[in-house]
Amino acid sequence: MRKILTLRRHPLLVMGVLFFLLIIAFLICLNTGVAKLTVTEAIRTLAGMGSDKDNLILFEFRLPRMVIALLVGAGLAVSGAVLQAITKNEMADPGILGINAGAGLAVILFIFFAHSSLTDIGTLSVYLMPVFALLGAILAATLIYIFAWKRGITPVRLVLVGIGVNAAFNAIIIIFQVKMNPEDFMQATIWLSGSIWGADWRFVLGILPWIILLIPVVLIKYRSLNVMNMGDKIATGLGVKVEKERMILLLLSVALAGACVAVAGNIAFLGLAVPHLARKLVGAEHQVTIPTAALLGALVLLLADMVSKNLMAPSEIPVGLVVSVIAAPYFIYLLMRSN
Amino acid sequence: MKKSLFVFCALLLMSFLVACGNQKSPSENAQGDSQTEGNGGMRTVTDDLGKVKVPSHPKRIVSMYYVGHLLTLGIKPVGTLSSELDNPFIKDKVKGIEDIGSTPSLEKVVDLDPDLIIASDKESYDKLKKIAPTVLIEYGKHNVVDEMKMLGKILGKEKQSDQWLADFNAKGQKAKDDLKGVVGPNDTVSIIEIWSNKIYVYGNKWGRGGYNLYNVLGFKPPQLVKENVIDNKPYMEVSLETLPKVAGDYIFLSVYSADGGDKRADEIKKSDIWKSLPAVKKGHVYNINLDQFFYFDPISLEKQLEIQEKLLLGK
Repeated sequence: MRKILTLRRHPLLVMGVLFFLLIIAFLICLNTGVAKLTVTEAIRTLAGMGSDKDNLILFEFRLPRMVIALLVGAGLAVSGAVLQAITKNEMADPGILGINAGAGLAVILFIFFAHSSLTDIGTLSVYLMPVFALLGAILAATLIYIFAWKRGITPVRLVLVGIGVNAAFNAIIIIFQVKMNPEDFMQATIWLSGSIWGADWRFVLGILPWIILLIPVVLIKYRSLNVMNMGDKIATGLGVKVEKERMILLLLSVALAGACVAVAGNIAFLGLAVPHLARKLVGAEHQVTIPTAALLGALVLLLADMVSKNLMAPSEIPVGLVVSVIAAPYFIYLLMRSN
Repeated sequence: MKKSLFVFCALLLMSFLVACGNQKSPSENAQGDSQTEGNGGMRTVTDDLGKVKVPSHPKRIVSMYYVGHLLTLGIKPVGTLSSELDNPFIKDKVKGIEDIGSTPSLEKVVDLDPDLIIASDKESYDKLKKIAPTVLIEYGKHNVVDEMKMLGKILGKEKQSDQWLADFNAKGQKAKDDLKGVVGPNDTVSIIEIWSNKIYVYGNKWGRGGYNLYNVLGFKPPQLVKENVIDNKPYMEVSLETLPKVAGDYIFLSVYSADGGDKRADEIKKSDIWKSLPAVKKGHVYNINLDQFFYFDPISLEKQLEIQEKLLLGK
């Protein structure tokens, strides 16, 4: 405990260590996979001197996936951190609140009507999918907001309504899944449980703008997050327009979650566990919590994807399941401790 | 570098040998040669997407499906999907074929260093074509004879595919003769499959032995199946209420027990709708094992034909 307390006074050190670990994990990921690639081969290939085969493995198959894992991990973690701050609830996360389900439903609908098949996803769709996911996520957030509104929003009501919306959206997703033929059904199931199989650079381009634009915006808003975390009354007393700021921050969180769901499906628990861990490491000052959560989220998803790719190789386990297996016990631990 | 030089020399030697072989029997490869373009041993063939260049004599083929087809053509692929390796009818012939995963692991495929890839869906095709020349033959789009003809042309094995077709036709004719009078000329036959929350009826372009029943043995499908499924869709989902419309006078029944379909099958069998089906009343319901009837390649079809014949003859 004392160690953690001293760490909190050195958030830069924590972030430095996380960054270092991220680089190590990145290098390990580069070298692990079904196709054998030694460290020197990987470095030579990165430097542009690799064989055609090594180039293919690294630049076409491995790197895009890793970059997606980094971006999605960071995005979901920051989204969760924001949600937890504005709802003052450690259990809040875009998955639990139904925001991921809203995004997922929009993507399923888009694919269902635009393609009638999940197997043929064109280039345009890759860029359109985050937009649709965002619309679905915003719809979910709007519904939560409307139903939870009673002369303002109380954080507890927001979470409870969110759980209800989540159930409703998941039910609608199931209705559409049942209407699919068996192959699409299987693919939709894998996608919904979170998978970045076959991610290529188009997907990276599809999500990159969202992540690199929205995370800094969240960072700029760190003061609002900090005071909101103290409670509405104090925040109002400190001159924060609580409702307006909450709405903007919710929108940011929703947009991040939506973009992540669009490329990686519904990866649950990451947005819940990572911000929590980040607060433990560096405290709830969001100017440090947010970057720490982003680094930690990227690290966790990168490692989880490595496990999902290699544990049952050459078959894959959806990365969402791997994250759940790691993070769910932590969630249960949190629940038990909060009693 | 050394490796590619070796491969080049090997290819050169091979094409020389093949050229010599052709001189001796010019009729043997006539059709294949007419398409040869002569540049580096590549030739142009037709797949589901149109014209595509493939090696004239591929040595290392990775095929998502169609392992039974390839084995029949005398080709052993170097890699295939896990499910293909589970096919009970080719179990003894797949030794040495590597598993590329339940969906193709791109890295595994790269590692196998293929010179030709046979993809079965567009999404995989788009990724696999980065690795080596790739053809697309969509799974469930063609019937088995068309698939064999396509593969024969793509791989330059028309002779083998024609040979198989002749053999298969002969076996089919024999089965037809054996079954003469067993199924009436106006009787209908259907293939039903029960899942935990769905009922499917199958046509002649997918597994469950439909090609044998409708194309080889010439049985009639019920009207609704004929209109919607045969030569059209691989299968169709039906409700319990519409089951009488797709249930023929003879029913081949499979149950997908992996998702709890066996419990659902028990429920359905107790229902009045099921009990009032003509096939049920006359005892013309035959249970088929999904593990055996999942596949629809030449080898499996022949074995399935034997099973179907035995079932109908009550052996």
